[in-house]
Amino acid sequence: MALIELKNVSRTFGKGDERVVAVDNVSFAIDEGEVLCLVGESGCGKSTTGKIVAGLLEPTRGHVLFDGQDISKMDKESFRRYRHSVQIIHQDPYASLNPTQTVRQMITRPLLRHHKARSNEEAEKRAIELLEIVDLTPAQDFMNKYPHQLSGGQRQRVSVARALTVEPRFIVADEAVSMVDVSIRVSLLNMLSRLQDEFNVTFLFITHDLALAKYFAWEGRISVMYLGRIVEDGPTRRVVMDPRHPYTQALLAAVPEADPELARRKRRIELRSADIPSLLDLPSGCTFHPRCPYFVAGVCDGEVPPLVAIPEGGRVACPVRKDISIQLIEETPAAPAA
Amino acid sequence: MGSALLGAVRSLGATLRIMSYNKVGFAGFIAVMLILFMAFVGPFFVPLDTVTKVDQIYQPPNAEHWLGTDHQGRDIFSQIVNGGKDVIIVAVVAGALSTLIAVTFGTLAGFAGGRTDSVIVSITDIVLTIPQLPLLLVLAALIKLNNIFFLGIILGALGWPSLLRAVRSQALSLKQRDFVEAARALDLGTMHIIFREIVPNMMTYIIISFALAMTGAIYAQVALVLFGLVPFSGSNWGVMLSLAWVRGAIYFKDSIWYIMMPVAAIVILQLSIVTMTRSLELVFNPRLRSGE
Repeated sequence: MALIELKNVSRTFGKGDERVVAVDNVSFAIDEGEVLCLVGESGCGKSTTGKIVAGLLEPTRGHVLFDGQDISKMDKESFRRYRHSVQIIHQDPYASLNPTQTVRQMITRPLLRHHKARSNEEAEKRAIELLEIVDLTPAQDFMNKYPHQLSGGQRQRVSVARALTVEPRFIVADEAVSMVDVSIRVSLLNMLSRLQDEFNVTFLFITHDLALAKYFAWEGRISVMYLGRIVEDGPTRRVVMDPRHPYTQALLAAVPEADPELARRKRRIELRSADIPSLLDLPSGCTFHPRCPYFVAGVCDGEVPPLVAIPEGGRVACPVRKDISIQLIEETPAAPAA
Repeated sequence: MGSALLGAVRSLGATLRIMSYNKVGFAGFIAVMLILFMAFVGPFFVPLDTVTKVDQIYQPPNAEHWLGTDHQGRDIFSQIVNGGKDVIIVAVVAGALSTLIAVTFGTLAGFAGGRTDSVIVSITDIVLTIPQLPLLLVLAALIKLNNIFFLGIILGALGWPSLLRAVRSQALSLKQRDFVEAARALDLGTMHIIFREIVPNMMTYIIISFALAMTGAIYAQVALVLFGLVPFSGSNWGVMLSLAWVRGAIYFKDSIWYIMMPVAAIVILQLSIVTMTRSLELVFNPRLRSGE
């Protein structure tokens, strides 16, 4: 049974003409110990989905199941268990820590409140252990620090340590590394991976960066979101090596390659339009059709294409291209420029 | 017991050290302490001069009368020393009450939203539009305002609306912050979220508003006394001003010392309170402590 399951979840904001469908009919399941990467550009509904999973936002329609139980129908005790099992790590390390609290207060308070520690001494000891788990050493030096005395990467580690106080089984990492310097991104990602291995924590890893998704979820799965809908999902290897949806292909083609030889051979996908449609006035049918290079009139702008399972693994919401593989890296090197 | 006392002394010392990072603010703090000392301990050493001395009317400051004498030849310094207590008590009671109302209901309105919010905001708007001084004049005519605590409560009960609106809007903005969301995810409870996450982030603002509420209350009560609407018992800075006014002191050039002394006392108290908030800001906002 899946640890977390979303069933036809939708979320709208606003009223009347200003109504925005941030998440539209999204379904997915995450098994215990698995990593699911939610990928998409800004404003596509990834964060909203993350907040719904973490129980911080209620879906307008649909259900969220935790351990097979609908969270909106849970009794107090089960909801409390779910609440403690699912934690979120925010994107902005400068907004996610209270500027008036020291690291000690931030970490010992949840420990004491939820009886994870029986005395102040025990909470202190546990807090130091947690700081060591997130590689903030020597931990004692960080206990009396206020957030403004820490760097972005250190703050993000404190945020993770704080989430670990309640011993969560599931962590929603909402762009958790996108606001820290590239140089410390990898060590943060490795730390999160270690949590997954050592404590069997399940991850919903939300990012706009496919390269990060590849790195973090190579053994897991990727779901690609576009304007509130999932357009393609599947095992990371399949989605990265053999993307089927034109949007996924465009995203992958846009990832820069470090190797200049590869970069030269990389195929470009020309979109018909570089602009993202307004969320207030979404295109009919497949919302990607005004930009899609494979647009077929009458097919793409009619019905919303359903997610259809493909034999190679995962699902694709594109009736036109779902069975056609393309090569993103050309086999023969391109002719050198004259 | 001993260690608890030691801990309290140590944290008091730490607080004072933080306050001393801002020199101007710390000077204000010391001035407030001196004024409090003068107003509450001073009367035991400087008895109120009530003897009329016709030959010593309107003297300028001199060795015998440090701040000069009034229209009956009485010592002004003793009146200043004895006249501060009531003013300060009313200011603290009024400031504390209005701040308490504003913070409690402002945070509640911002945090709860919906119907609770609309009800609180409507009441606030109504109270906000009542012209304060005319209402106080009417009230003073209807009920005897001779108890200083009662006067403080009335001033406090009218002084909260603008602070409440400010607190509410801050609470509205703070409750959307990521760290509040994290506290919700950690199931820390509504009380924790309000008093540990939201209110500490407004403390700087609340402290400044408390100081301003106190200054407002001082003006309001001095005005009431000046208009002769509060029966003045004994001596207070408002009574001194009122007497100076009634006795026509403002028409004599010699009486300038008499009328200026209570004005100066009020201005110095206000200034000290307002500058002290600079130091209090440091205590409540760790980001401002450049000294660390």
